[in-house]
Amino acid sequence: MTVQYVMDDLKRRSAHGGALKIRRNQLLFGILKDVVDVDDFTALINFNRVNLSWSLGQNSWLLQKFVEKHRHGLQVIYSLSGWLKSNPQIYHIRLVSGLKLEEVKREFEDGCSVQVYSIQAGILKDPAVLWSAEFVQSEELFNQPATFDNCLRDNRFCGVSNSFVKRSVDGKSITVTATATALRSKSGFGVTMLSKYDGIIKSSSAAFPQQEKTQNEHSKILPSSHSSIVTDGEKGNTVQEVGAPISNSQHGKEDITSAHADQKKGHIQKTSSGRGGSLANLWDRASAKPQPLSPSMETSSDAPKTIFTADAQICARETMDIVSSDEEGHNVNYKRDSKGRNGRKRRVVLDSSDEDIKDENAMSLASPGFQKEQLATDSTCNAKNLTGKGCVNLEEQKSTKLEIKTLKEAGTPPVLLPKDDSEGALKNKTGWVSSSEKVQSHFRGATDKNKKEILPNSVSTSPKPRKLLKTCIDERGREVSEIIWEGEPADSGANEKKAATINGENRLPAANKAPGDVHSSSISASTNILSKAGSKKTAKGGAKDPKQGNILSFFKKMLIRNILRL
Amino acid sequence: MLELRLVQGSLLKKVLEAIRELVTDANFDCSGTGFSLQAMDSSHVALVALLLRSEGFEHYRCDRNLSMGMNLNNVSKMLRCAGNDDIVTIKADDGSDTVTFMFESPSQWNLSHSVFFFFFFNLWCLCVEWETKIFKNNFWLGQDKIADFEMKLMDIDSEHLGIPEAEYHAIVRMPSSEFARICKDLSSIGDTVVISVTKEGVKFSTKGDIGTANIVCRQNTTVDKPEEATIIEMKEPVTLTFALRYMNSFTKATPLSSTVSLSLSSELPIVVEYKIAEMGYIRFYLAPKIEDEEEEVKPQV
Repeated sequence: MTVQYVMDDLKRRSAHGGALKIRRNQLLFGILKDVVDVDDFTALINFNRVNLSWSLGQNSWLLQKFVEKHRHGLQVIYSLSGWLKSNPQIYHIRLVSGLKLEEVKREFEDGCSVQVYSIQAGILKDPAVLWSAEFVQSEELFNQPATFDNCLRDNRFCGVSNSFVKRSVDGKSITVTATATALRSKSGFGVTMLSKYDGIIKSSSAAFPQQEKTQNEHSKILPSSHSSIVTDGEKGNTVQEVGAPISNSQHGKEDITSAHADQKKGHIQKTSSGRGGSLANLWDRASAKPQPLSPSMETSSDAPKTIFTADAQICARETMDIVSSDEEGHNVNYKRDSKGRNGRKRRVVLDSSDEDIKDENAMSLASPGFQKEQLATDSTCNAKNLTGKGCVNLEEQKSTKLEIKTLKEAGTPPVLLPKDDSEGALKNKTGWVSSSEKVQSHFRGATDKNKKEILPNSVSTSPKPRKLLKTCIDERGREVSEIIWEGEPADSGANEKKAATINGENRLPAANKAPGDVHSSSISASTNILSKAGSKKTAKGGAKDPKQGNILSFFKKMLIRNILRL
Repeated sequence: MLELRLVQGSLLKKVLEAIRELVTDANFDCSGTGFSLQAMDSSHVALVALLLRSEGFEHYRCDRNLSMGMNLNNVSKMLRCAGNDDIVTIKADDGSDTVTFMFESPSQWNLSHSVFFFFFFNLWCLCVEWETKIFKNNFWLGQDKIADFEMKLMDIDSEHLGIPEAEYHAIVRMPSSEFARICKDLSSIGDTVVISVTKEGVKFSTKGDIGTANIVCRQNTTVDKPEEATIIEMKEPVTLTFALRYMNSFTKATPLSSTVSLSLSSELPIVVEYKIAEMGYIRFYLAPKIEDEEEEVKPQV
């Protein structure tokens, strides 16, 4: 019995609705058992799957119960979130296998949230399976017709709600009416953060009605454990920055697992321009183009330490909104500053200096490498959704820019800053630790590139060549991925080419790039000409189009189908 | 012993012209049921299946099943030596490594001449009671020229695929010339064609460097001639992408039939079928382009 079969089976059964719904949990248990009983080590049930495929909330709880019941022969991956014991304190989220749970748990302070992230039949050899499993699930839902109401449309299981997206429960539309909270008092964005209590076994009520609770909870905002003083380069404004605060002071830790697991969807919500359309469309729109690098990157230039909280999403959303706003000639900087430990406010800094804008634009536009990094960041965001590290890069980039600004103001060429110092500064600001070394090192590459652009003669600090996956969604909603090597000597040139490639792809979809072609179009133009000129030649033994299916395989499939029918 | 006599010799010429671009070498299989061919193109993307039933031949004799490997270009060369009105006879002996093509050219007399002459000749025969064997056999047809060409056969290793039966989601019947025109036009713009069949009609679209093209053919049964009708039988909508260069190869069979039928089903090869009047068919199978190919790349290494 394959996983797909099981899922279909459940869908079929759940389609009958009514009485069957009552027994859904029991049914789910049975089916989950079927899935994990199979020696299919790729079979993986993560809590998001329970969410997306079967439209069940409280999925983590369900999985937990399931694990308790069927402990044998199960490999469990837990999601740990909480404050690390290390100094300075860092809010940390980590996926660990059941074997290492206790060991890793010791690194966290008491009261960390432990939830079942996924269950599977065997130990995962490749963590990428975690990512692809979720991707496939999401893709499946997004491929459903626009009229079909699935949970991704309104992101209903996400812990973060969005006032612009109406959620529907059992056919009833629920509009999240955001009341005045500290979070949105300035920006006007109706982003509220849902908080759940006490990790594993907690509120069994549906996610949406918690919003009222949330309002109260947000009034009690945890003080940030870190703050840094950052000087605005042009104006000399000193803004005290606060790491993204963690709400829910009563319980100390916030259950952000659902938030981060749905980060992909959260990402979509961030890109909403406020019209509340289909999320699939929003995703498509948002991802079709790389997020522009603009001065808006600076706008939320705080360096949050608690990057996995809803605050990170709020920051990003502000960024997007500022990008979409048509304010020209005014550099609108949204800064957050801390007023004491128990509160926080945002300050809007209106900077009318055109020079500043130009400088920022020049910096961002003239550095394709940085743009590439931004693309890579997006892809990393996508790729890291499960681990929740995705949007860290965004924040880190901001912090880097901030760093450069600070140096400018100090009159010191940024390039003279030793790499270690830069890293140190970064580390201090972001509070990011070794668990996210990949992300950080990736970003370090970006920092290095920026430095090189400013002063090419600086000491080469390029890291080892690193393989990155650039992912963007093309105009037809397909994910286009490209592998790039970062840190190679001819990197910048290659990057420029690749950037051009990407742009070219948007402008001129190649003819022989049939729908579904995901190859780099760098050779497509020439191939087109060639193939048209000599199509007859290529038809007879020319290079075979990898997209072209082999007729034998189709006939085999047909045969198998016929046999199965019999 | 194999002996096939086909009065409409031009048909064989057309068949060869239809397939020789797609397939270079192929085995012609002769059996009691008919004369058939099945071959794939060199890249195993398209398959052609030909059947000329025994009933369609004026004379058909096949003592035992025989497979004759031929280079289609060579066959085409041979057949080019035949006139369009020639009667073609194919002969092969069991175990022989050659095949003989015999072309008989009819006389310049037309039918009315023959009838007229027959009437008076019979009258005269009755009068003089004179008949000859020569007159009985060949005189009325009046072949002036008989040519035969012997061609060497080849040993070609090929397996005969049992093409499974399949139910297609959509079958479009349309004038073959129209289909050929569409493929030709689209191939000047793009390299692939997306064929989508909906209840509104069948849409052929392509995308290229210079732009895009969409051609929609709606169902049209109210025509004077049935062969000009466009008929769409659709069970469910289907959209598939194909390489135009193969489609253009298929349209070489347009002279064989005034209509073409396209059978489409998701995840199955398209079948482009040209019926050969009263005799059989020529079917082209083309694998669709795979639209969703999973990228087996780790997000980050």
